[in-house]
Amino acid sequence: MDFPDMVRTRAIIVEALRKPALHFLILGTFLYGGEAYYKTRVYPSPGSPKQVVIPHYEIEKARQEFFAVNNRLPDAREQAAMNSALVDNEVLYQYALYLGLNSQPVVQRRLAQIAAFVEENPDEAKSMETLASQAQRIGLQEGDLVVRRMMIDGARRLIRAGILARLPDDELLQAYLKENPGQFQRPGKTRLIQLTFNAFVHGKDAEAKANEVLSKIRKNALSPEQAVRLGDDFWIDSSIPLATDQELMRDFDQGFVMAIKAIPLNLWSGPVKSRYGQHLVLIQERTSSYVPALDEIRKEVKQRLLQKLADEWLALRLQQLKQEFQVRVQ
Amino acid sequence: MKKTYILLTGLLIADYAMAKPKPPFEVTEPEATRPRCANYDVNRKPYFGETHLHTGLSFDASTRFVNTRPNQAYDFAKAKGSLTLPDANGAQTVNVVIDRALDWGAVTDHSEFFGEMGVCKDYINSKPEARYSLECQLLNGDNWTYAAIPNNDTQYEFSGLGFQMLVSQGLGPASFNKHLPVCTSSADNREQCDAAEAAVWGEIRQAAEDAYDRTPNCTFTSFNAYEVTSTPSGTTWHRNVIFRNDRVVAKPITAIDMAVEPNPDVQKAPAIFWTFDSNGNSVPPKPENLWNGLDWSCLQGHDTTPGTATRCDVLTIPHNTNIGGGVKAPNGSFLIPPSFYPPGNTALAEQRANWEPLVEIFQVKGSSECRFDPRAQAGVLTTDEFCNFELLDGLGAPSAGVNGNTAPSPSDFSPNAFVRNVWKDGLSLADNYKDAAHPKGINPFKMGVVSGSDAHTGVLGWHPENRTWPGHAGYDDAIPTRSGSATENNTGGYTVAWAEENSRDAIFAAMKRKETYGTSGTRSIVRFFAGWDANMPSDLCAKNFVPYAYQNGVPMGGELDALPKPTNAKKPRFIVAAWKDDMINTPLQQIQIIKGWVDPATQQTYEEVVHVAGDDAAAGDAPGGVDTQCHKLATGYDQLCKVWTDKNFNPKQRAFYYARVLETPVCRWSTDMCQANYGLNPLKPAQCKNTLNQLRASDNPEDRQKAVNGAACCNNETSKFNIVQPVIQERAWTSPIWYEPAQ
Repeated sequence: MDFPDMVRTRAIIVEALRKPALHFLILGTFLYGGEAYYKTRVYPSPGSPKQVVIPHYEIEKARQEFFAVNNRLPDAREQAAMNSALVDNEVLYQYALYLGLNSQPVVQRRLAQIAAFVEENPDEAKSMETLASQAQRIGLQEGDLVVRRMMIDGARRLIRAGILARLPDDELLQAYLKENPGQFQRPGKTRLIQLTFNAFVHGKDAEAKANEVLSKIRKNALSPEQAVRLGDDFWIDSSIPLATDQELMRDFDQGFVMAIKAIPLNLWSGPVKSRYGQHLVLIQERTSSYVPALDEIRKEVKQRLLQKLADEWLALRLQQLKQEFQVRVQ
Repeated sequence: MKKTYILLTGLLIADYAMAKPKPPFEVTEPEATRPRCANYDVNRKPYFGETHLHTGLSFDASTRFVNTRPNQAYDFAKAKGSLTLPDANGAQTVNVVIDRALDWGAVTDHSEFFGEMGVCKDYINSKPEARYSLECQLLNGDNWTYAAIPNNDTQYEFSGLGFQMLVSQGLGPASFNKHLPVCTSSADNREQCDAAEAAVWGEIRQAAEDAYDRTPNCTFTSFNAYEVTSTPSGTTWHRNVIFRNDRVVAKPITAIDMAVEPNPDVQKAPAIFWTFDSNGNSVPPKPENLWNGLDWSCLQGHDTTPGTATRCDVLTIPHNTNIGGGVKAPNGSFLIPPSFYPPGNTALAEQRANWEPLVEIFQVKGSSECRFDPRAQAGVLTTDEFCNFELLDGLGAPSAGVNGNTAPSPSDFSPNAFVRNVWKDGLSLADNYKDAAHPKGINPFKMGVVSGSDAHTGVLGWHPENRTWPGHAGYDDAIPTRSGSATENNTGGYTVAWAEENSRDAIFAAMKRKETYGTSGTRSIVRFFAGWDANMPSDLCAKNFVPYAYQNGVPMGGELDALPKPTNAKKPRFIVAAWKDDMINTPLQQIQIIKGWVDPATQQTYEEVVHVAGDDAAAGDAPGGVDTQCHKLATGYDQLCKVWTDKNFNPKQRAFYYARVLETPVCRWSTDMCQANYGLNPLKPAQCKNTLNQLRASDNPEDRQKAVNGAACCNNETSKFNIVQPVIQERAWTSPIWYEPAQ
């Protein structure tokens, strides 16, 4: 469960207005507001948490772990990112407490296990609730890393879930498509005619042979149908229908694809080298890359939009939550 | 005028028919949902693909903090998205991008724990007590990650312990597999896990559907697939199950269905470690249960999902024979036989031959082609020194019955741990499986070749032979040169399918007819055909040989004896051609044809490696390799082609022939990583060890950390354990062409 109605500052509201997540925020307010209220009744907050303390040793530990992987200490930017991650986790933990996630049976059971482990009189029969309560009273939940992880993950999951379950309307999808055309762009294509001079036939003379034929084609202004008869009989068709660079790389090779980009339309050119030898090329058509209409790619757009909104919403909520806490490094 | 119209209409129809030839493969995808591809080519094209890849939906990826999902793996393969992987602390910080897009692929997550993964990953709003059960804590791994556990070693221990517990609980401590208690301990849990399994299988299928380009552009083909993870006593009987189209089994048939005792009562720990028959012989899992299940559910259509395709079709591909050599008792008998054991009767031999047209010859955990150990100067039923490639001591040895840190001897390995020996075995076994319907006998192991990755990180189709390789198992080997066993691993390879177009039907048909080859990670192109000498001119390389060879011969994977034999034909003749990977640009060194045959009188099998084109390294005419800084010295060839006749051909002997294309030597990924990151040069062995010792003893913590991260950098061909080749020859293996004499 999440509380998407906790925007406090004007600045954040203005920022949020620019984001599509606002639509979900408003919807979420109505949908979740009632349940959130119910939750606060069921799980009384342990007091409005106002201060988050990051112990210095946590930061030092993170620095050491970074060093173990990278053979160097983090630079200022990396250190800031690590500190931010520590703060995020602590804020989410506090938020999970606020939501009452510590009252979930699974957490209670875990706390009861810990309490039983340190119980002075382990043979004494106590209910799970009693043991869990004991654990909470002496603050064991703060130090238990598994409990912390459950609660942090739970808070993250709840915040994101509010977005992922939505069905965005066409207007929103269209807007996302317009703002992110690169994600959905389909590649341009090339249609061409080519003559092959097979390296297994001509060896090092393939290039000279190709040049000789090119001169003949140009001199006699041969039509494509006449020209293709002058190349080797080869298993790759002389006429290549509209093909992407990826397809042309498979058919010829990367160097060939790079080289034909510079060839003007409707002019026999070459020789162009490929893995198979040398080629003369007539580019007949080039199509530009394009972005399909929404109807063609609705599902793809929806998936990417929802993931993005969920990420944005999580970041926004974290920002909101952070403003409610005073973060201090001790 | 009317005649003109009729003529024009006729021409248009003819033109349409010519432009859209009827495919030679069965079309199970109706044209309305899968129009023929615009780049359809009757001479077939090489489509680079992947048949073996895991994401975070595999339990053993999840325990290592891998969070990737199938849809992300497909996006990655298409070069449309990056992936974020865990670093050595478990933090999601390692961003990777593929260097060039893949043509087709299949995500093959471990199917046995789909239900458990669904519960633990909360696919079905599972009950909290299940979601946070011990099994889920182990599966999710998250509980041990960065910022949760303060000490790396502790973190690592927890992660490793989680993996071990899950495997020993579920995946084959003996001849059975079972679900974890979270899915079996009550009827409620079983029901919940069934729903979760369906949800996970549903996500995998949805990701495959979303990734499949159904337009005539045919830019990418995805397959619905999963892995069957039968691991009796640690020996690998794993198989990938690949479905032809979108009509697939509703419920995966898994290793649990193969087990002798599937899902025993978890409240009663099995009293036996192995299951024995009344004669006291060990009873291993039954792969026929898998095939029967797939036959009933898929081929007969009793339990399939809805789909656009006309029918369900499926094949299975075994892998890691190199660690599937069986488990021996002290007396030398097999408690668990190798994954390729002789089928019990003709029906089983036929079943195996029908279901498994392909075998995986290479992947991250080593080469399965063959084994020649340079330390022993001996091989496993081979003297082929080129079988010294990407050997595995660490995982291979235990399944061969060797423990400890000593080099396993070639004699420790079951011969059938290696594909070439399995192929030879198939030749000698065929006579045992004769009946009225099969007078020539059945070769149960007449398989073609695929090569795969088996990476557990979602990096579909990515095989960087350099310092960027982030390991294959997430957190566990994120700094892969830290341990010898991780350094032994490589980056895996491609399966190339020769197909008319990039569609599911066309690629699947190529796999079924075995017109495939595997590579060790580069993208060289290989053609291989055979015919009778009377029909195959010796100067074919200088001709338009592809259409000619399709017309007059058989391609890789084909059967020579299926060709009509001209009366003047005497010997089989082969044409093999190869072109280097134009992006990585390593020249080719040579092409070899490897022949295996059996003497029908003695059933003794033989092999011969024939150098047919390029520089013969064995004869000493392969110039150069690399210098100590990995600069290439060898010149090599951009392309090679050769027509070769088997002059020793004996028409009474069963035989196979496959081509192996060797590139000129290059530095291995580990060599590049060690030189670049840790200042350790495996190409200077003595100096490498001295430098490593100096780093270990240094006062500078940065140096000591380098020593930790590069601990296995000085391993080489002489290492007592965890052998590594600092310099390798990338390669390609074609599917064999087979010959069987008339009865």
